[in-house]
Amino acid sequence: MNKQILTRAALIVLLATVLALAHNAVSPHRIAYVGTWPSTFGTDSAAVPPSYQEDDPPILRLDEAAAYFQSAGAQFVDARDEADYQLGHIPGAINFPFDYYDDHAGTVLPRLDKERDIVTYCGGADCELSLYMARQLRNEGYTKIHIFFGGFTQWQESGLPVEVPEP
Amino acid sequence: MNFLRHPALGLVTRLAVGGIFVYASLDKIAHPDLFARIVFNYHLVPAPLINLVALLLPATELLAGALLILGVWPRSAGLVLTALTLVFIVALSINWFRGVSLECGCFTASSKAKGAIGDLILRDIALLAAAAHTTFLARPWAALRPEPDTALSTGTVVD
Repeated sequence: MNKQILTRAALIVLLATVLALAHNAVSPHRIAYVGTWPSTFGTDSAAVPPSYQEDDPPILRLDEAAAYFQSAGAQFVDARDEADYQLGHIPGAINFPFDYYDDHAGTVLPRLDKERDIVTYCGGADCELSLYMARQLRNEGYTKIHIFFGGFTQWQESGLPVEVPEP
Repeated sequence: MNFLRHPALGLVTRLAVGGIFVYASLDKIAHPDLFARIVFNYHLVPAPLINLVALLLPATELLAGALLILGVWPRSAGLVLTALTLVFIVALSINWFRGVSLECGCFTASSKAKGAIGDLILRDIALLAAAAHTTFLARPWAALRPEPDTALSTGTVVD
């Protein structure tokens, strides 16, 4: 193995690095260069409420929800009440309280892009607002919907970033 | 073992290995967020580096695979892919030893593709042999920018 081959191999890796970073900067599916991932390892199971039906929108585990969070293309919908949302939520999530759906539909629905992935969540495994919200959004014609049943509780416990609005 | 040095075999392994890696890179480049999750699930990469690895791995597969197909610096590109395959084998083996159920992330960023890790490792060993062949044994045939055999030794002409 001589130096020329090793140098060229290193050049190939370097060029691929430049191309990858440049492509990611302009890609609609770009991800953050430094990711945020759960610090816990127990991510293999997803909490599922009893009322979940097979034809409901698909469920995300914590690590899958974290993956969508890295993606510039995904929109998070917080289905809890505004008071809970104000105490802290997944960064960038849109508050859309399911219990007051009609009050918010007029302002929130136009902000939700049908082409982009949507992740609904609520408090955690003991709350089903994320499921109801996902069903409702599907009725509105959205197709790329996912439900994160772990919710804000599991999100926060795993050490993922949380956004708290200024009082 | 003269057939190993037959130029036709060199072309076959070049196209096969290059094609496999180019194909393997496409879905991962299209879905970096999902591929990053698979990298996370290997539990081998420190959290701050996961996204970078998820971006760089498929780009390296694509570039080195394309160069190998075209025969531009084929031994150097083959060396990159040989090293990558070695890394894959080590990563799979560690998780096999751990007994973790794993999404491969070999050809797709989808979480649906799960295989027995032992089979995946066997497949990668075959790929390793082919990739090593493009670097160390293949003779340039129909290559745009071939590299001579002498490039492999430190000076003496082998052939």
